[in-house]
Amino acid sequence: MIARLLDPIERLLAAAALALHWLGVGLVIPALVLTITVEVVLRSLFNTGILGSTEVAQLLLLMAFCASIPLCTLRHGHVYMELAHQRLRGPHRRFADLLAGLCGAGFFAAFAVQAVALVGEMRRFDDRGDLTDLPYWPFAVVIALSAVLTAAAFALWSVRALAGLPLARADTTDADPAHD
Amino acid sequence: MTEMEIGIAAILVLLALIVYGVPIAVALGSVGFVGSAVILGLRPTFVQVGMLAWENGTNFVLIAAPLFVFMGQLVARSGLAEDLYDCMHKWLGWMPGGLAVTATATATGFGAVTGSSIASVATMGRMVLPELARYGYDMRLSTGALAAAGCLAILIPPSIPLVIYGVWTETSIGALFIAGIVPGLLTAALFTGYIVVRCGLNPALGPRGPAYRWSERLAALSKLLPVGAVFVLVLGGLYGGVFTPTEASAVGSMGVLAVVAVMRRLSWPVLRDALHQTGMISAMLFAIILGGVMFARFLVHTGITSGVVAAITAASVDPLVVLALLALLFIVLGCVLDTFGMLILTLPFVMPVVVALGIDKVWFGIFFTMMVEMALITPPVGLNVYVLRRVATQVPMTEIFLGALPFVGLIALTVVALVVFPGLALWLPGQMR
Repeated sequence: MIARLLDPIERLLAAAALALHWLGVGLVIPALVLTITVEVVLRSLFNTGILGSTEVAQLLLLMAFCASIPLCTLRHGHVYMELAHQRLRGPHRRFADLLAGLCGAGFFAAFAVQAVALVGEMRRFDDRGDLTDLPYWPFAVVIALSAVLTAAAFALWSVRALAGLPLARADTTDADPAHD
Repeated sequence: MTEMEIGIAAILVLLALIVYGVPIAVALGSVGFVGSAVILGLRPTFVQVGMLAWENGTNFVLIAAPLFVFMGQLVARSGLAEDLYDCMHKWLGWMPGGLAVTATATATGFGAVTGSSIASVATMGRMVLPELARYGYDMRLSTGALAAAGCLAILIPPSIPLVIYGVWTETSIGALFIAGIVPGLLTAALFTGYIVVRCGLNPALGPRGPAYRWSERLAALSKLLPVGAVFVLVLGGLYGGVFTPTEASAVGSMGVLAVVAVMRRLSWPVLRDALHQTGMISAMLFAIILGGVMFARFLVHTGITSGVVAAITAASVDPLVVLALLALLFIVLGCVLDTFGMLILTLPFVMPVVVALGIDKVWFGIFFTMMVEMALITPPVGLNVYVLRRVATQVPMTEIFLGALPFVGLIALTVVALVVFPGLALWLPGQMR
């Protein structure tokens, strides 16, 4: 019953997390590589540079870092001490997963509240880059989205653990490049 | 409760949460948040959390982490490791234990273009293990050698753990990279020597491979070119002061993309998978950094780190004794934590002590990385062994751990050499422009 209720929520969350992830890695990582390389080439060969490229790179990095945290959480990609957790059985394991979910949801919820507030502040004060004049608030939106989705993903951990539903945590060795 | 007592209680809660399987990033972040809220109050703590991502996520130096991950992912997926292996085999395959020697040399070369030991072990394991089995190599020695050789990737530049260490401790990442070269090559030489001696004494462990003609060997050198070009580009630029480590990561990524494109190996699946994995690893790293910063700031308010530093300074403890104790701590922690967990969890406590004792931060970064190397192949966590076990499904885990044991001893030997001759790590960075 609970599984059936959770299913559409999990799908929606997964779709949002995946979209944010691909915004981060599909657009931002290549843009980051390109921006810095062009800057190095221009500086080394023509003794010139792109005005504000460092600022742009910093903002891109922020997006790259934040964009994949929800998907990483949904796929249980965070580092944890597998050794003890894998030996837990039954109610102990459920309690451990509940604890992990609650801690994660709590921390990222606090983070989300402040991140949303940050978006408002940046819009109100029209915070912009010194050299690029880029408005900061859209980047703060990415942080806020990431925090909200991550808090929701951890909350789902807790609900699953409470309901006794399986929570297949990833093995860290899944980082095998050929077997994501 | 005094602030110090709150700090001690928080550390105990943190350890309990980690042991219970709470993700390390979350454990650090939530304990740091609650602890700060108790000491500073809720409002200032909330403000701190709000700026956490912005402050750390816009750190220009940290760009090196995702981009070196991206570069390593591209190399791992585009078949460059296979080329490297083929070339090394033609040059070194004739030696006693030739295939295992080749694997060690290839892992050393592979480490020069990827900073992840997991990527190295997984790629090397898939590529070399079937060959080792086909030629009747002793699986204990072979798998042990492969798991250990994978460790070299985090010592030989570029290295993701050294990037994080550099950012966290405000140490020059360029100097750290250059400092890792000599200890890395020394460790690789010790591994190779050990394999050659053991297989020389007992050829049944690893027979010699075929000896190739000089024309074939010279022709194979062309396969070394792509990886060599990227290595020279990245390290040459860093060493010559042409660009910073952050810029090196971008130029290196572009270099690998160009090389792979020229070799007609740049397909959409290769690029997609490399980007996807880069995002996942970067997110995992950033979450740990966020949690770690939150916890480290809380620790500052408790006065625990300054208390420990004051106690050690007042007791005039010999730095060598402290290093021995730290080595012991890292070995114990390495039994239960992975690289980044160890890094972020220990640095807030350890670095103030290291600085107070006047230990060079670049040297300590290499020392720390070598301790992490040991942790990667010692039970029960030994991440490299677990990764290799995925590929070597027929080899029991205990066999791999036993096979890796002599290599742990060799790494320990290098650590001793590093303590006795600090110049092994510090001479080369001293020559940098």
